[in-house]
Amino acid sequence: MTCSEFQDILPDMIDGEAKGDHADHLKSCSDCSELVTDLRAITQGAKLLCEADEPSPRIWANIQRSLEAEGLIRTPSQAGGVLVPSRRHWARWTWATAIAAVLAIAAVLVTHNRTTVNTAVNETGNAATVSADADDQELLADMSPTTRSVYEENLKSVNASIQEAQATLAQDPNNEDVQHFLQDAYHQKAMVYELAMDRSLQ
Amino acid sequence: MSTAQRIRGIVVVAVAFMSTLASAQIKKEFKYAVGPGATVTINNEYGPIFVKPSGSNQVLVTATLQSDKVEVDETRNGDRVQLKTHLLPGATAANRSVDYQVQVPANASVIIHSTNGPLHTEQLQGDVTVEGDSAPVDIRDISNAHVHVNTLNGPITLTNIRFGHVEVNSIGGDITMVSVTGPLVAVTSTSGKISYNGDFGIGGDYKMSTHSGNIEALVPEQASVDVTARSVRGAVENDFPLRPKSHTTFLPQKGRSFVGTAGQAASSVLLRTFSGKILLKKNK
Repeated sequence: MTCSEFQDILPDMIDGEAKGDHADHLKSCSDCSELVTDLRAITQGAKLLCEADEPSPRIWANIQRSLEAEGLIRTPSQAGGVLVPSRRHWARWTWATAIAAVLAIAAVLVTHNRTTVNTAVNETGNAATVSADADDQELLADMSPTTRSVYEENLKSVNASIQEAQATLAQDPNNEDVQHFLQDAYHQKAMVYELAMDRSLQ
Repeated sequence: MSTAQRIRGIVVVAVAFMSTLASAQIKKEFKYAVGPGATVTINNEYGPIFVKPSGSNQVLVTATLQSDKVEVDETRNGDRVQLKTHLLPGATAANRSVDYQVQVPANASVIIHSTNGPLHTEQLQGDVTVEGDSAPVDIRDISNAHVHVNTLNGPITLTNIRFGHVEVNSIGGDITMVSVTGPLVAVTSTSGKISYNGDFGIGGDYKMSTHSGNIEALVPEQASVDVTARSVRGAVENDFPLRPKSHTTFLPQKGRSFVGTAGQAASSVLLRTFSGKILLKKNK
């Protein structure tokens, strides 16, 4: 069994015991063995966090779509997906951090991997923005009407800047200025999420 | 009823109302003796925070609570002091505000947060971090320190910040800087206007970027700068005497970008906007 074959079944066996060929591979391959150890540690740690603050499946689905669009993960072969194991108890701040991480990853890719971003933009249109809008709604859902209107207005402004930069990049993929602006816009959006999260933690 | 009687009646009611408000306010004072490099954090959900130096090793906080529907939680761990406004059941927009007047040792690091502010710090030498939603931010007379500001749409004013590591992020608030010098000054906005009035110091790195806002820099003729200004879709205008550069990393486009140096070109200045206008002017 190759590492690639083993990693295909990893999400399914992470909560259980490896058997047969999988167990043999785990004994013989230090890389996969370390990976399993790390993933189990993360899973155990996640279980300790507060169940009440578990984000909705839509958040995980959005993050997963973003990561797939960027080519960072593959589409899972079975229902449930890589990011939505059967028991996941993450605190509220964790999903915000994850969203911010996705934004940061997207921003880094703008600078360092033009091909990936261009492909994502061209093939999925404004998929990343559409997906982010769903996240925005999730973020705004618990806010008071006054606060919501402030955040809504600012997110609208940031989303418009992202869309404008994306549309310009689609026509002129090598424009470094616009790449910087897209990167800045993602950072700005991450900041809005961080401020919202600080507020909710208070 | 005559006009005079009516006015007298209004005054009486107004005075009674103000007296009621004043009597409902609760004043609390907190004092801490701290060591050098202490950290003071104030989280105020609603209301102003003013911070200035105490001239001693004391942290002195006067919190004026608008009502008994709000309280102040305090935490002290060594040289870390944290005060946090805590809304109680029954808190409403009319009674949840707290006014913090804070004095800290000049070298203390200060972290302040308020949704609507205003937020004000002055004459400090420690790091300053300010966060708010629509809170107006006013930071002045800071030297040799980090100044970090993150807000949504409150206006931000920085005055007389010397040798700072200044990082400002705002979505829609206008950002005004007067006599602000680096080593590092990085300002990013989505739609706000960025105004700079100063000489860009000696040897600093200045980056100002706004997506759809304008940038205006007012600079004295003796400034020592290496300037790059670029607008993707907007316009640029230069009224400052710059020497052309023999080598640039891009081809300047008339009306959209310019580059040039002045003096010894000691400080690097990058001005960028996507659709706004950039104006570099000589301060006469």
